Amino acid sequence: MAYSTGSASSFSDLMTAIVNFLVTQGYSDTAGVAGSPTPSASRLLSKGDISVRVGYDAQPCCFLFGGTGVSGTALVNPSATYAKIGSPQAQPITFPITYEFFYSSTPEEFYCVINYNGDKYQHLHFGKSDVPDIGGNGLWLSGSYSGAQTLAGTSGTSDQAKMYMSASRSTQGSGYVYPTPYAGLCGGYFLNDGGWWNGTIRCGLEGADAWRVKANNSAGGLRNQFQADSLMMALPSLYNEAEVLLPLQVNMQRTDSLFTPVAILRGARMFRMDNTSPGDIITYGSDQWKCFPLYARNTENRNGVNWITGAYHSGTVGIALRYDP
Amino acid sequence: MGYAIGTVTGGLGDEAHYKVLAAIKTLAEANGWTTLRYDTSGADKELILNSAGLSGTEDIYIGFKTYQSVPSNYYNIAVSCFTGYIAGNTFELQPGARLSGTPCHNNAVTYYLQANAQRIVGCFKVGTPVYTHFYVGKFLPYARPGEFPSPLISGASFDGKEARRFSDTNITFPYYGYYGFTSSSPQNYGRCYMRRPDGVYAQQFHVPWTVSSGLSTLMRPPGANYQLQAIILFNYDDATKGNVWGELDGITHITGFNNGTENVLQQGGTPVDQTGMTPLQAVDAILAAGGRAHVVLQDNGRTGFGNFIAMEMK
Repeated sequence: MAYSTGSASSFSDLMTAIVNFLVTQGYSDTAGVAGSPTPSASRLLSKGDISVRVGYDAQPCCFLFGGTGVSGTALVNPSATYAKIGSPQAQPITFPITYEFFYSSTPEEFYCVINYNGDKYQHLHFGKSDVPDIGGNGLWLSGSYSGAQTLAGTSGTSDQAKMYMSASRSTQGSGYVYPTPYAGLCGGYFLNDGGWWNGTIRCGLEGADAWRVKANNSAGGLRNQFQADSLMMALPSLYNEAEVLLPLQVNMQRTDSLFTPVAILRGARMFRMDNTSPGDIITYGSDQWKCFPLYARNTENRNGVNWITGAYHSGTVGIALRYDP
Repeated sequence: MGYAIGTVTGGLGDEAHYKVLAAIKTLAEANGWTTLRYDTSGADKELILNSAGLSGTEDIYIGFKTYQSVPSNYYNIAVSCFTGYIAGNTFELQPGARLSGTPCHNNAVTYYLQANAQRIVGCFKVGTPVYTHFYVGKFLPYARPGEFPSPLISGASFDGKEARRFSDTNITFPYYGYYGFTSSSPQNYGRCYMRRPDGVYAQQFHVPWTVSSGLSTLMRPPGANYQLQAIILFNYDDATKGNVWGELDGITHITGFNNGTENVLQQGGTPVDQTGMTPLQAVDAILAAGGRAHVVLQDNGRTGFGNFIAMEMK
């Protein structure tokens, strides 16, 4: 495990910090093609059979693509879907920002969290699945925004500084709470439902190795966290206010309509941060977990605010990252 | 060794379920339990056990009691948790008793038992055959020490000593939880009574069976490596929140996709070729090879994708 924190005065600075950090973790670094719109730049980072392209552009954002190798200034088999941390025009990021990096090599995982404008957080992360038999290199990536989002919407239902969430539960025990992004933030961590693809994983199982994306009811499509949705609607436990940390599991739909977990994010958990402040550290035995809002913490609207209103927060949906400074 | 796999047979006056009770006693005493009562004087034979738990500082009470009817042709074993022990009280009137009945058999039973110092789990292969289950003792609460007094489960198929037998097609194992097996009505057949912090036994929702979509019943592994899912107990207690109580110890959900009952799943260690091995031999070989061994067991006569659990033998 490794951890680093610092300040960045631009997305260019953030990219440089990510590159420098991952180089110290054994990644090779070469120049990548520029992004768009300019000014922009990117770097290609490789370790073993996974490669990523991290860069910035004038959208402005810091973006992340995945690949299976490097050829010149480009990725081999680049992901069509990509993820990013971005500055929405409705509520631009005021630099400098604070960043925190979390890294593990068992399995290979990297998490970047930024804090800006006081209470706002965004996330960008990738890793290599340790689930056997899934084919491909198992590289997964996700982030607060889908690469396809322009960040230009400023009002009404196109406000891209909002998070639109959906929550429900039944007396039969079913339930869920997650971002339904529409125009807003997806959140990352493969949490979202709906059509915005802010996460992808390269694996086989249904034909040749390919980048799989979120798509309900479609063979090869990824699903949200339905294995633990109900628990998010029960937490924190009333009897002891426990902050139970729930595994994040990426499930893929098969041609026979069955589901296969293709990745488990070993260094991240979802939880409800009703009783936890951003940056708090939860200690369970020898494990430490650092707590962050999915976007911004709000205890009055615990489940966020639904489409079409949305809100500049994520309720008490939180992410805990394994912390081993 | 915390497990026992074996077959017992019986006849009139020497029924098989009595021998199962004796096997439970032997296994329990070898794994941290002290026998407080073993009364075999009547037809309803009783076993009450006490343990200091895995921590060595707890005070856990569980019990087993046979009950049977020749005219109705059932030969069952009720399990129960207690919160104490009073020597002068009957089995049913022990402090904090909550009984659940497990169908068993008089003629032949193949049993799968696993015990540690905080709970005992078991499965009986009887009759046609069907596989009946129990879980009695502590579960693993998501709580710090002292927050959850007596986190106990009395889990089997019947509400107490119901006069029903293994051939009742409605019975289920206790692991689906409330609303778990059928989505449209409460679970009336499998019984998994959890003792809440307020001392009330109640059935809870169970992940992964109680979810909004189908990892419990529609899961398949990516290849030959099966993925075990923790069975997590929770409820919705008020308008906005609930409780995520904890998870079962040593019992996990496993998909039935390309799977079969009494398969033995190896986790880690040097791969073992199980060809020609009995489940017991496979378990022994896997543990000797440095792996973890999970026996796959179905719910009674059901063999759908969502009707299996894995019982770890260690």
